[in-house]
Amino acid sequence: MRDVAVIGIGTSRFGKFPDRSFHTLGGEAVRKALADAGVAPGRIEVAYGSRIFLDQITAQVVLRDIGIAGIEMINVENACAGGATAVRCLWKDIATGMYDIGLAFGVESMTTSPIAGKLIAQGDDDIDAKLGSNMPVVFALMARRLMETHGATAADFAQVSVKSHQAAALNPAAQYRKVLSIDEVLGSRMVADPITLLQCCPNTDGAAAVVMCTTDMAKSLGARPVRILASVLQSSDYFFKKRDLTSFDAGRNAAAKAYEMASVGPDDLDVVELHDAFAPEELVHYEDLGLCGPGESVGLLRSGATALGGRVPVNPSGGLLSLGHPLSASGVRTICDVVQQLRGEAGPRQAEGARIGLAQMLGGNVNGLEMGAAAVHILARD
Amino acid sequence: MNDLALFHTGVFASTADGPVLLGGRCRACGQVYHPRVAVCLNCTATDLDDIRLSRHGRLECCTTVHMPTTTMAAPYTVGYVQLPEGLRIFAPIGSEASTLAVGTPMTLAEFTIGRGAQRQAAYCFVPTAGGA
Repeated sequence: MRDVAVIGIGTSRFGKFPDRSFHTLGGEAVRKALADAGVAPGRIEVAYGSRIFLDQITAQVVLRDIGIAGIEMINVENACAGGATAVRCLWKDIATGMYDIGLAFGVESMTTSPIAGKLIAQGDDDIDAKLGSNMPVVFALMARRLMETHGATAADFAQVSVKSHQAAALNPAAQYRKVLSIDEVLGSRMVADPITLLQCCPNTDGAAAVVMCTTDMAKSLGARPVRILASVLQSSDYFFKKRDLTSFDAGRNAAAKAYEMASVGPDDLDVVELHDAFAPEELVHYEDLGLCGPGESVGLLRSGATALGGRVPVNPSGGLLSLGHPLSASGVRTICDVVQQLRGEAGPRQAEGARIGLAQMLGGNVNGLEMGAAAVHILARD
Repeated sequence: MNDLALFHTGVFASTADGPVLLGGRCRACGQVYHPRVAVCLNCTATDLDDIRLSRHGRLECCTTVHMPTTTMAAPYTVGYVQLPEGLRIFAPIGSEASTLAVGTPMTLAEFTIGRGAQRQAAYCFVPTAGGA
């Protein structure tokens, strides 16, 4: 395996843009990533695009306007982990020697999609969905267990959202830049008890892109490489094997594999970006990623260790909750934000001296399985 | 039970005592399933017995939902009930969630999803009459 680095990052504006098509959003992110890398479009050897609310040949359409055509292009879908899957696929191509340099992006135009922005579509054979299950319900039931087994309170879940919005208020790229109080979060409309509206991520239009190459090529290009120490993607096991509703086995296993691949541990992390579509799940990910021991997630949150300026800031971008969640883009965007932190370019949101960071993304909810996919990337600056 | 069509075939049956969940048990490894599966997802054996699951379990957690779906009018309560067979069943809860403690004994009961002409027969769990 060859060492692979991220040399360029780019994100579009995040928000609701009913007048913008997916390819102008994707193009904005890709152009920025190429410019950031200092790489001409003609250098790109392979490209991966990801989009859930799928038309055909997303990568070809987005890259058509950039001046990239005729190379191998692959379009991937893996629910909310689609973008992370695109990065993982590109990493495999470069690490194994198939190609030396390529790009990966994720894009979603939720407001122009005929099916997005309602609830995530359920299959006709999904028994749980017919009986009233959906994404907020799954996470509300997880939250109820956290209250029972971990002593978590409604105010703790609200604090996750308050923390996220504090960071987003400092992030010009964020969809929502309003500082919220715990009372405001708790006082917003109840969705699925104990999850209120301001503990749910918004529908977002946006895109994110990365340019990656071998570390050897990064040197010859004079780029500023951030090395990928680990790239892990796995699907989940059967729901009947799940013992604990306050842990995602797939997320825990993906993290364990990533730490082994990177030869680092959770204590080495300086910054984390993770899937916080609903505020309570952030506590679950603290334990699944090993940021604290079993049963200690509420204490970790309350200590401030995961807030801006804490020992290991989690979602200093503002996260899905307030930066926004253009589904397939989020798994690339989290990597862009970790790279920005490791370069020391996160401005008022900078984790002091950050050297190693982790980007996690989960995706999918279907009857019979714990979830769809879990992806973990660990990155480091030299 | 009433004359409504079942919301999903092969998942439950109505009996004189109320609805009962239809499941399967692998003859090789003993794993129990709901709904039934053609192949054991644990050991891939193909020899499974059709069984009827226990109608009684204990509440693991529940939530009251304040937005409607195509089949459920808001507010509604759903949760997980753990059966003695070791299965966790997702189902509507036919009771006020705020009054139900974790571990409450629950029994399967009749339930209707959908509205108007789209009404279909389903099942829910209710607190067991007289407790455990």
